[in-house]
Amino acid sequence: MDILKTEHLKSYYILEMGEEKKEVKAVNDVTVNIREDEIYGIAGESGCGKSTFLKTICRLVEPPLRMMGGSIHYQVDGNYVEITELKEEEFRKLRWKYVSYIPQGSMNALNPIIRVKESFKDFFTAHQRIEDEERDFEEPLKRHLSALGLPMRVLKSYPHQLSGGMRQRTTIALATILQPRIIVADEPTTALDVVAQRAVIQLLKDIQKLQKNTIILVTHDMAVHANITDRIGIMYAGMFVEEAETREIFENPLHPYTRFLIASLPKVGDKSYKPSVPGAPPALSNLPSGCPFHPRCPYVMEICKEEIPQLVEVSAEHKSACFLSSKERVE
Amino acid sequence: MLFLKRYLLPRIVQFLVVVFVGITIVFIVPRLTPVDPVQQVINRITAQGAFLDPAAVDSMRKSLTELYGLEGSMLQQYFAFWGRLFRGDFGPSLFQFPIPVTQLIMTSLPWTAGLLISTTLISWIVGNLLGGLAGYFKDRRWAKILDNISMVIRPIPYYIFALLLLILFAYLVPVFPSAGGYSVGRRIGFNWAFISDVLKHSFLPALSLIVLGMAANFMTMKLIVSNIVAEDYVMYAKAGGLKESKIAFKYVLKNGLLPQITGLALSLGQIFGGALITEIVFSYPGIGTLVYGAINSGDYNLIMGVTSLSVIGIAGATLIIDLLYPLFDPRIRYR
Amino acid sequence: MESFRELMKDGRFKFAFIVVCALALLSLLSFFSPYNPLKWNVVPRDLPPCWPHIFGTTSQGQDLFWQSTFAIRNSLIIALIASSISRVIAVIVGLIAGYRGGRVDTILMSINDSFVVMPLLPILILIASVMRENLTMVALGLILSLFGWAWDARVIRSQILSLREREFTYTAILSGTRTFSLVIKEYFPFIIPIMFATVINNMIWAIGMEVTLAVLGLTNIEVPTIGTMIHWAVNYQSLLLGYWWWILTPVVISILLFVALYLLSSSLSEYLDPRTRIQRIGKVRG
Repeated sequence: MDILKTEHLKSYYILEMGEEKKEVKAVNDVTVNIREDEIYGIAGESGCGKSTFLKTICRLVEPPLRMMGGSIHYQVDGNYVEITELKEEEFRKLRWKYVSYIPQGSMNALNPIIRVKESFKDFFTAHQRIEDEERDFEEPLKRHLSALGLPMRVLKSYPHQLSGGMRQRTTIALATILQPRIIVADEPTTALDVVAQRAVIQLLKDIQKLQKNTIILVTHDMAVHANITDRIGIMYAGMFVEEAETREIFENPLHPYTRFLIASLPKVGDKSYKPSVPGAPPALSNLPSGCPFHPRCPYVMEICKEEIPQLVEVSAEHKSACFLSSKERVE
Repeated sequence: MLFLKRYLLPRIVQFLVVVFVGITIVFIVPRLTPVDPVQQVINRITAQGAFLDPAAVDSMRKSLTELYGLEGSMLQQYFAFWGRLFRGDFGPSLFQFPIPVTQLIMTSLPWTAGLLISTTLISWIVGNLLGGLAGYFKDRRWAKILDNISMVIRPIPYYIFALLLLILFAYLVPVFPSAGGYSVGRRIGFNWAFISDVLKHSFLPALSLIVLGMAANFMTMKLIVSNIVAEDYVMYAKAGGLKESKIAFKYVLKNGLLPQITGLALSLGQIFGGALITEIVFSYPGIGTLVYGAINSGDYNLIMGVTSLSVIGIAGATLIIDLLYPLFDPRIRYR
Repeated sequence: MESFRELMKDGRFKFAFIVVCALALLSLLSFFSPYNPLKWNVVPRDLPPCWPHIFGTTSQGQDLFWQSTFAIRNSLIIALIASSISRVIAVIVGLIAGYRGGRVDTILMSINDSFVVMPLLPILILIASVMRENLTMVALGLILSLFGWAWDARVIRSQILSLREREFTYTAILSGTRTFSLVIKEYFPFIIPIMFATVINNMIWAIGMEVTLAVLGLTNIEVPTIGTMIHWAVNYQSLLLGYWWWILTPVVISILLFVALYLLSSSLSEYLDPRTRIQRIGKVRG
């Protein structure tokens, strides 16, 4: 069963400067189905709308960002719940216990003037009652930390006393303390050194195996995707342009953009010249007509300039939003 | 103790610099007039109509010259000045000769201190609380109303506001007494009659200081909070589903109060000046009224004494607040 | 100008601008005053507001309306002198401290902070009581400027510090630009807006000080300023004698002036601050 699904989701930044009104279409008609017990990766370059997508599905939408249309469903106890229709207080109960969030650059994610243990307590008691401090809170907390390989001294520290990598891992521990069904991670490995990156990736893998939940992982680093994800969705200019199992994406990319992406990855021993995508990604406030990739696409056809390709299944478990693949299929 | 060295020492040095610069200014200013200050003072006193016989004038002249340390070179005078400062000797009041200035100040000080400390605490705590909540719930109607009120009150100088209150509540609608610290003829003592009398007299001056202080704190705290609300850890707490009240107090307000502690330390000089002026408007028996009398009677010694002591006092209070700050901010406490 | 129209949409700016213009107009009217402000008994005394004395007259036989025009003018002149000179001092100190850094910076900032912490009122009272009648408008403006630079010097210094680390500084130095011309040509465009933003706040402070000192009788009380008007009104017991128009006129004018200047400065700085600009846009209607 799906754990989270969106249908025609639209989230724009509305900017008004005097009489001018600009709409930055960060999430532009996205329909995805994310399953239970999987690690789903979202890849794409900076500014393609990945972070906005995450914020939208967590209901962290603040002006100037606005959800303009579409629906988001969570699967709660076997039923699909349209979360945008829930009142703020009702959704608050779902937060953290059901869906938790690991932000981009967790450098500043913890309250700087209270100790880490107290931060944990705040998040914990927001959703769970503590009758006996020792039994209901401290013991589970210590077990959780040691299961994740974090030293106990972290609890007594203030956030600024921890190193960057340690802080990130602490944030991950915090995000998983209530064993949520969905963990949304926004670039968890960026801004870390390689050693810390490895630790974080391993941590996420272990947690998923342990708690059997779903991790939605956003990163532009394809190596991370290769390492940990089960399926990948490729985002470009606010839309999902391809979605398939990880192996399939790397070995058989269908969408021209994905092909460029995969082809640009360095391989050990391969010294050939790596092509990069010509041109630059479009401004999300001024999208081209039809397929947003068509100005840069080497296989562009007339239809690409007029109609927006939909994300359709091209082969088993492999979706692509390109007239090329659907055309091939027709032929 | 690296912490001591890094944090403590520069602040103590700064305290000494402030005192040094301030006292030097106090020393230099009277010496800038080409006129003989002693003669000037005596002229002023006689011009006010005080009757002095020639012998008294002579002894006054002698002691003044000695007092002003006008013997010896500039440098000798300077060191002598510091010497007297350390001994707490500011000489006798020229108007109420020969009562020492220090004694006069000590009599008025408790009134000013009481007014100052209580009003500063109340306006800091309440002003910051309201400002913080208004900054967090900035779309609510009460927040906007309070914001508009503060906007209008804040720029009004202490004198004008005090005068306004005096006109409104002591003349037009005579609810409160218009002058003094307590009614004439009442006996001083720790009984309810006296205390309630004092409270009645200090109500308007205190109100004046509290309202102005709250307006200023409200506006700065609101600004600080509007920046904090955009911080990552606040958004994260929201993502974590923490209750609104908890986020408002523990994550936003608490963090916002820290720069306000520093802000308080920096505005002490201004608050002190405001208290003096307010006292003058209400003839409240504190240092303000003392200084006003000194201005009108040309009592130099008193003015110099008050100025010197206020420089040291304010600098000292600033230092104390600075030293207490690490207790509140763990980022400073643990390096 | 587009920014002006943009600003006028802000209720605060609109109100403040209108009031300031009105007051400036009044001060210009002083050149057409039929009465010499320094003379007493030119009109009947103690008249409540009537025609032709629309604000009333004082116990010294002066027309309040025309006095006010001079008062506004003189107070503004003092404030302008004080704030313009203190801008210059602030820029010089901030530039040197920010650019040189090191020991020079530490010493300058230490002195700077002394002026920030020091209780200025007692010191100004001391100075004024020494100078008394010699405290002309210009002298007062000068003295106020000597004490009003400290806070803004720090602001300018931090701006210089951040500019110094920017790439174009290194480019300029490496291409051989001399320090002086570097500072003038490259940095000033950033400094000028700060100077303007702080001028109004400084003026508010200066007028506030002038009023306070005048009321205590420490400035040249012959010269009509807002402060001296209040001084005379209080001195002649205008309130007890029921001549409310005498004390109310300068009080109301001063409140209008202060509130308008404050709203002007806060709406301007909010308009210029990039962070609040982002918050402004995106407030969609409906």
